[in-house]
Amino acid sequence: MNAALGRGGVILAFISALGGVGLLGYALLTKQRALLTQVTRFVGFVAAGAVLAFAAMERGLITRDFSMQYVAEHGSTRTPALYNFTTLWSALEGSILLWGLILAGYLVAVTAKFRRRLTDPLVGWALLVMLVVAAFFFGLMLGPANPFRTLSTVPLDGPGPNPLLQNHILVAFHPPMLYLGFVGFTVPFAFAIAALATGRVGEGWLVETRRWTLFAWGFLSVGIVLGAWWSYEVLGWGGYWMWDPVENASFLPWLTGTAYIHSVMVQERRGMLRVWNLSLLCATFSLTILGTFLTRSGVLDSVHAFSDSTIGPLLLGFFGLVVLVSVGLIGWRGDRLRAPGRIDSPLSREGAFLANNLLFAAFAFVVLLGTVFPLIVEAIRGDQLSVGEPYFNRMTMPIGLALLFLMAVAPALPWRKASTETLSKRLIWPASIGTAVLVFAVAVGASGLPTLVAFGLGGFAGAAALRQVVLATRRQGWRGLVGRTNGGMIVHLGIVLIAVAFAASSSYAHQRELVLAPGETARVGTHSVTYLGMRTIVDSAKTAREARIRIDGGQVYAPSLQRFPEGTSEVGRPSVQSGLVDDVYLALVEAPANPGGQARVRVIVQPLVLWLWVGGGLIAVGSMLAAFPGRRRRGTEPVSAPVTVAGPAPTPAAPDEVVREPVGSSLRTATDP
Amino acid sequence: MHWLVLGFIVIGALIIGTRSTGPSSQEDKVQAIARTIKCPECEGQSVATSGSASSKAIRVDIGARLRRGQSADEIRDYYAAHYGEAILLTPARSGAASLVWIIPVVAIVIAIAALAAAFVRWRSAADGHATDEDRALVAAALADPHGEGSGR
Repeated sequence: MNAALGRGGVILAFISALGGVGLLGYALLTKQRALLTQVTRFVGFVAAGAVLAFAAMERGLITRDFSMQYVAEHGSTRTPALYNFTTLWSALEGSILLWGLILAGYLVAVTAKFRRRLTDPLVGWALLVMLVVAAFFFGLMLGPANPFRTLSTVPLDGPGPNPLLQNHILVAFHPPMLYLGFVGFTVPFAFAIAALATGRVGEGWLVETRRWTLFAWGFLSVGIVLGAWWSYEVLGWGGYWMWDPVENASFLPWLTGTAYIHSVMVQERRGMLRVWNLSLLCATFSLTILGTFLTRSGVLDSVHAFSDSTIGPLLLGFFGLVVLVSVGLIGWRGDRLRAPGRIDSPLSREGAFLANNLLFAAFAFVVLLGTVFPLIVEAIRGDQLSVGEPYFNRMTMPIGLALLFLMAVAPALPWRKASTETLSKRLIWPASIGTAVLVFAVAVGASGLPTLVAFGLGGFAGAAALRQVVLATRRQGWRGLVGRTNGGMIVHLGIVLIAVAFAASSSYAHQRELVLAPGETARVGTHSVTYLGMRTIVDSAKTAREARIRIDGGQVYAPSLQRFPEGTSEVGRPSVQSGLVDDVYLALVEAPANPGGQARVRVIVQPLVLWLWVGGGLIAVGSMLAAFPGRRRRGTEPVSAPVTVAGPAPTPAAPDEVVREPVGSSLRTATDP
Repeated sequence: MHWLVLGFIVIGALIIGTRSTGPSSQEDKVQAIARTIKCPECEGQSVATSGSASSKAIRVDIGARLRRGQSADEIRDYYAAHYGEAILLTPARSGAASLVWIIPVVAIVIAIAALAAAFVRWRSAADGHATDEDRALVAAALADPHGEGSGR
């Protein structure tokens, strides 16, 4: 019953998506604009099918319908309600189902937002692209990733989801957030393809999709941070980022997406970088597909590669199609994409954006190369090698430091051209604060050149962002916090926090493996840990053996080893004392054989870890503020400060800090058809 | 002037900060090496973070080798010879594996050179005078402030 309903939903969504593609394709090619509005029905049916399939799967999970193969393989009667609900995205087929649901949601949102412009071929093409993507994903669910297979012999119970996916609340938030980001990039990608298809490659489509991009980017960022937090809280090795292929797969579109949301401002302002921006968007979207391929096809070892599947070749084929179509269209429209503009000076806002893009592209390239290099070597030479955390840390560290420096300097740079006097005046305070942070770090005993440089540059960049926020709020009151520029500065603050916390926690971690008898105390760094004894807690899903450990004579923490009935081995569940200065991370490695015996405990003291999550929160807040409309301006208002022909550039009113909307871009639309 | 003072303070702080690295403990040294060796039986984890039995054994072995006076590279070479190249999480710096180190550096250098060349070209193309065509473009744009791309 559930399986039939779900399968019906998938078929409905698939056929409606195909039908929508057919309708739009026919209407666009025969130029029957009135017909384009009919797409709303197809979108409605896609959404209805997706919701039906999702609801049927949840119903199957909640009613423990073990006649469904997915429920029988990943559900169980013992799983608590929350993790039973999240079981939907704990394995491949369900993840694709979630992807389909979110894509259907975006389809509805785009259709609703552009409901008055459905006859516009640009919107028509964009919806067509989104429906093609939807048809692909619902097609996967009809074939190799079918979530609604049934079993002829119905088991009485199932094994439940992977134990690691049922002992932390973040499992309910990290995957949906990440998918909202991943799938969200379909919208700007669809409009990019639409712009190429219609030949309206001016700045119109950029401005239309600016908030959609921001939305996707914000969710992707938060999803990545939540994923890091989940690994930290659950995996038991004290880290939060290990350059695992799946982490890289989510990070790659983030890198190209971040490059895009910066370089898009150059295009809005100066009409340049059209090919580059289109390429970045296409790269971002295709990297989400490639990432799904890399992690879901089993070609790479990963803690996230839950299952092998035949889905791989299809995803790879779709990735190839996306790349081919993108490159083909950009090449076809090459003549219209040529921009007449030029950049006057490297020492300008647009120069900084170019440098930013170079660094982000390099960053993405390093991560991509490191991730697929073992595959390439194995394919060519047949022998295996590994590219792991030390490689990524070493290669990305200089790029990260250069990005921090750019974050410090770029907000103070005016468009077109900066004079050294302007720059010196605007940067002296941020630089002083950066220096103060560095001196403070050295005074409290920090060491190591790259880490110290990261602290200093972090202070510099953070102060530069704060300076912009303070100037804007002083001038505009609370409106100084909203709009792209101001929200962006809040995001910068979040990134700075994450960079500093990353540098500190990875450089100054102290790890000890202690063997402690009850009552025994040991010191790790500046903290003392006292082992009090064991306790066993049994609930419906698992049996947990907890080691009770007192930290610094205060609160008691209980890292445990948990055994799930279906599991063959015990799963560790760490316990963390989080603090503003440092975290004390406890993981039970080996429980004592008898109650009075010795427990083996791994203790990791890491500074500033908490600030990673605070930084993630700031990114979320900043993204929302950036999506909020900034100060409106009349179209006739000048966007640039008056330029005197002779002498140094005028600075008295700090003209770059005026919130600017991309009015100037209407200049370039003269070249658009 | 201010900048000069800041520069001196920064250099001074960096010198003090990098000088006092101090001898790291035996356990930190073991961890540093263990982070570059892959856990043989689990997927995608290093010996430093894995809780598996073989990882524990390797950590103990690294400690013993360090006490015998072997260098980090000697220890890593031993494991590469014993388990195969894939046990090292940092690819070798020679042979085909070294490409993973070299290609990004070459790519970044080429990209920077291309960007610099673009700036040189833009500079030489600049004449700084508005043509009549430019003025017409500006006038047209101001006459139609709500055209496509006006942002509102």
